[in-house]
Amino acid sequence: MSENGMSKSARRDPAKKRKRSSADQTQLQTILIRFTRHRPAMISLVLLAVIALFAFVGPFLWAWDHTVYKEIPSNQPPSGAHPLGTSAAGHDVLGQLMRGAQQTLKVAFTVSLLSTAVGSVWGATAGYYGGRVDAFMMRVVDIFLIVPLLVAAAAIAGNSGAGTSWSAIALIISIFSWATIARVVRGVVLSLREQEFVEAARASGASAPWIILRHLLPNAAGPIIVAATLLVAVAILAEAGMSFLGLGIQLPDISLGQMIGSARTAVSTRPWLFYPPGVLLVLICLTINFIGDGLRDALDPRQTRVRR
Amino acid sequence: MGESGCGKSTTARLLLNLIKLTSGEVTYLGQPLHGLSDRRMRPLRKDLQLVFQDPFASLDPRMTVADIIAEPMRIHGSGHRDARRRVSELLELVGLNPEHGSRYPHEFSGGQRQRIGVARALSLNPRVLVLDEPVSALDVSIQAGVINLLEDLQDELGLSYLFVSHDLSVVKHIADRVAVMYLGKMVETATTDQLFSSPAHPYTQALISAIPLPDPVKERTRERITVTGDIPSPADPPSGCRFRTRCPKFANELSDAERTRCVEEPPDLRDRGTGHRDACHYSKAIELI
Amino acid sequence: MGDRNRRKRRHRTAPGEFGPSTQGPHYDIGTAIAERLWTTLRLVGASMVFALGLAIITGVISALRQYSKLDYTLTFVGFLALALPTFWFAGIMQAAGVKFNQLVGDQVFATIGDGRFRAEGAPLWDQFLNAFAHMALPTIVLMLISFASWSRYQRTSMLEVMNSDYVRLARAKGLRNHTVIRRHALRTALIPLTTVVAIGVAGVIDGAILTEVVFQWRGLGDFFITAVDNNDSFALMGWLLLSGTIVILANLVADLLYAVLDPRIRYE
Repeated sequence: MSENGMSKSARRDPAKKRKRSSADQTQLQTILIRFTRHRPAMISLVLLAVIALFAFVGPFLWAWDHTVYKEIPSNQPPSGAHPLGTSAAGHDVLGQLMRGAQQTLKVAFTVSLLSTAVGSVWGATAGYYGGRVDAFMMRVVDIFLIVPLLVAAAAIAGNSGAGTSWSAIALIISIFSWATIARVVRGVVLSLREQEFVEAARASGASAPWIILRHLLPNAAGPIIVAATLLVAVAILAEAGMSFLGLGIQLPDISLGQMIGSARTAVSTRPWLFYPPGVLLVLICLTINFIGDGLRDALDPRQTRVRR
Repeated sequence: MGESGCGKSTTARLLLNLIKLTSGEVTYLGQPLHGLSDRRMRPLRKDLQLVFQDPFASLDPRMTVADIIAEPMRIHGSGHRDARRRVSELLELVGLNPEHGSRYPHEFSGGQRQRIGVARALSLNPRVLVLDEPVSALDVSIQAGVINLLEDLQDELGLSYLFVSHDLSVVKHIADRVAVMYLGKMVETATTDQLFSSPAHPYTQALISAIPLPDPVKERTRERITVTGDIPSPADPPSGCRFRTRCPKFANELSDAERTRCVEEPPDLRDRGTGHRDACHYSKAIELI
Repeated sequence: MGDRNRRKRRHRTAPGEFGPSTQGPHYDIGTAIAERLWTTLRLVGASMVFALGLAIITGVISALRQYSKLDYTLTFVGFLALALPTFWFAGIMQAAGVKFNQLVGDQVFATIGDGRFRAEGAPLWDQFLNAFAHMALPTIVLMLISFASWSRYQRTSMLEVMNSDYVRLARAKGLRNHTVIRRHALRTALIPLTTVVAIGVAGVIDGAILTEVVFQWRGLGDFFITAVDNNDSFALMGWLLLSGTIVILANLVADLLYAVLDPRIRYE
C-alpha cells in the first residue's frame, strides 16, 4: 500500500507529516513539566527529600541513636553535644527525632500503599458492576467511613495483642482508611464506564477483571494518585494521635507522636522536648499536602490556574 | 437507517449481545446469541465485531495505538510477537503508518482514529462487522476516505457489514440492502436500488424526497412528501401503526374507515406486491428520483 | 469460664444497661457515659458551629476574591492548619493560655479541666463566664482542622457555582452582586459542604478525644481512653454505640438539609 513509509493520508496532507516531530513529548513528560511549574509543590518535594534523608540516613551519621544511654545526662537543654537536648530518661532528642521521623514516614507510606491498593480495586469493582453489587460494596465502605479513624485504630491497637510494631500500626490504620480511596475511585469509574472504549473492550470479549485492571484503573490514575498522596498526611496524623495516647508505637521504639505525648507536661519547662517533634510533623504534612496539590494541578488537564 | 433516537444503535448492540434482550431472538449461523453468558459468547466475538461512532471516546486514551489494536488478540490468547506483527499489518491495511503504533490516540485526527477503530475491529479476522454510524462524527471530506477504505476492505477480506446510519447518501453509496427504522420498528426493507427508485412506505418516501438533487431543474419540479409534527416518545408509542401521527397519507389521503385500521392494527413487514417488504397497510411504490 | 458468662450476659442486657465493666463492680457504664455526654457534646457542638460558620464566610470571601493576597493567605493558613496535629496545637494553646493569664494577671483562660460543676448555683453571667473560660481554648483547637478543610471545600464549591451559567445569567439580568450571591449562588454552593460536614463528624470526634486528654476534661474522650487502657470491652462497646449514633444522626440531619437547600430533592 505505501512504499516510502508515509501513509496515504499523510501524502495527501503535508500538515500531517509535520505532526511526527512535535508529538514526541509523551503524556508523562507533559505531566512532569506541569508539576515543576507548581512552585510550592517543587519546594515541598525538595524539603520532603531532605527530611527523608534526615530520617533514614541521619541515624548512620549522627553519634547517638534513639535508645537510652547511661552516659547521657537527663533533661539537658540544647547544647553542643546534644543539639536538641536530652530527655528525662536519658535519650538524645536528636537521635529520637530521626528515628521518630523514620517510623512515622514508614507507617504513613505503607498505609497509603495498602489502602490505595485495596481501595482502588474495591471502588473500581463497585463502580463497574453497578446495581446491587455496587450498593452492597458501598454500604461496606460507608460503615468504615463513618467510624472515627483514631477511635477505631486505638481501640484495636489497645485491645489486641498484635504488638505495636510499625507494620502492625500501619495495618490497623489501613483497615479504616481504604474506604476514602474506594469512594473516590468509584466516583471516577462511574463516569468512565460510560465511555465507548469500555464498551469496545466488552465487544472484544474482555472479562470484568480485564476491563477494571487495564482500562478503568489506569484512566483513574490521576485522582487515585492525588487521593493516595493526601492519605499519607492523614495517616501521619492518625499514627501520631495514636502514639500520643500511648496506643501506637511505644517505647523503646519511638515515633513523633509519642515524643509529643511524653513531653505533654513539659511544654513550658522543657520546650526542646515538645516543639521539635511537632514542628517536624507539621513540616512533613505540609510538604505532602503541597505535593498532593501540585499533583492534582498537573494531572488535571482542565486546570487553567497559573501559579506565580 | 433512521432518525436519531429510532433505536438503530440499540439494535446494533443487541445483535452483538452487548445489551440484554428482553424479547425476540438473535441467531448467528443458526446459533442463538441471546441469553449466552459472557464466557460462551467470547469465542463468537471473534466473528462479530463493532466499529463505534465516536472516534474520540472509543479509544482508550491511556493506551498506545498498537496496544489498542492488539487488545482483542491478547484477550483471545495471542502471543506478544504475533500480535505485534499483526498490528503492523493492520495499520497498513487501513492506510496508516505502522511506525505510529507507539503513539497515543490524542495525537491522531478524527479520521485517523476511526481507521484505528476499524483496524481494531479487524484484528480478530471477523466475518461480520457492525458499524454504528462510523462516519457521522467526521468532516464530510474525511468521510469519503473512510467510506472508500471500508469498501476496499470489504472486497479484500470478504466481510459482511451491518452499517447503521442516518445519512441517506452514505447508505445509498455503500449498501446492498437497506432496512429503514422508525421508532423502534422496521418499516421497509429492500435492495438499495429498489428502495431509492420505488419506495413504498410513506416514511421512506418522505426521507427520499428530502434528498437534495444536484440538478436544479429536477430539484425544483420534484414532488415532495413532507412529514409533520414531532417524534412521539419511544416509551409510549402510538397504537397500531407507530408512524400514523406524522404520516402524510394518514393526514391527507385516507378515509375514516381506513384510518381506523391504522389506529388499531399494527402493520406487519411483508411484501404487498412491490417486490420488497414494507410495513404500511396502504403502501404504494412511487418513483421519486 | 468468666468470659462465657460475660458473653451470656451480653445477650440479656436491658436497654440502658451496658454490662459489667472491668473497672470495678461499682462503675456503671451507662451512668458514666451520661455524666460525660454533655461535657463532650458542648465542646463538639460549639467547635462545629464555629468551624462551619467561619468556613462558609472565609470560603465565600476566598472565592469572590480569587487570586488576591487574601485568598493566598487564607489558603496557606488552611494548609498549615491541616498539617497541625490537634494534640500538639492543644499543648501550645494551653501553654499560651497560661502565659496570657500570667501577663494579664488574671485567670482569663482556664487551662485545665472542664469546669462543669464549678459555677453551679451562681448567677447566669458568672456561669457564662465560667463556661467561656473553660471552653475557649479547647474550642479553638478543635475547630481549627475542620475549619481548614471545610473552608477549602466551600471555596471550590463557590467558585464552581459562580462560574456557572445561571449565575452568569442572574448577573446579566442586572441583579446586584450581593443579591446574586445571597439568593442564587450560596444555597447551591452549600450542598456539597453538607456531605463533607456529615462525614467530618467522625474526624471531630477523633479530635475531641485528643483535645479532652490535653485539657484534662472529664468527657467522653477521656472515658474512651480509660476504657481502652483497662481493656474494658463493654465500656468500649457502649462508647462506640454512642458515637455511631451521633454520626448517624449527623448524616440524617445532612439529608434533611439537602431537601432544604436543593429544591430538586423533596422527600415524600
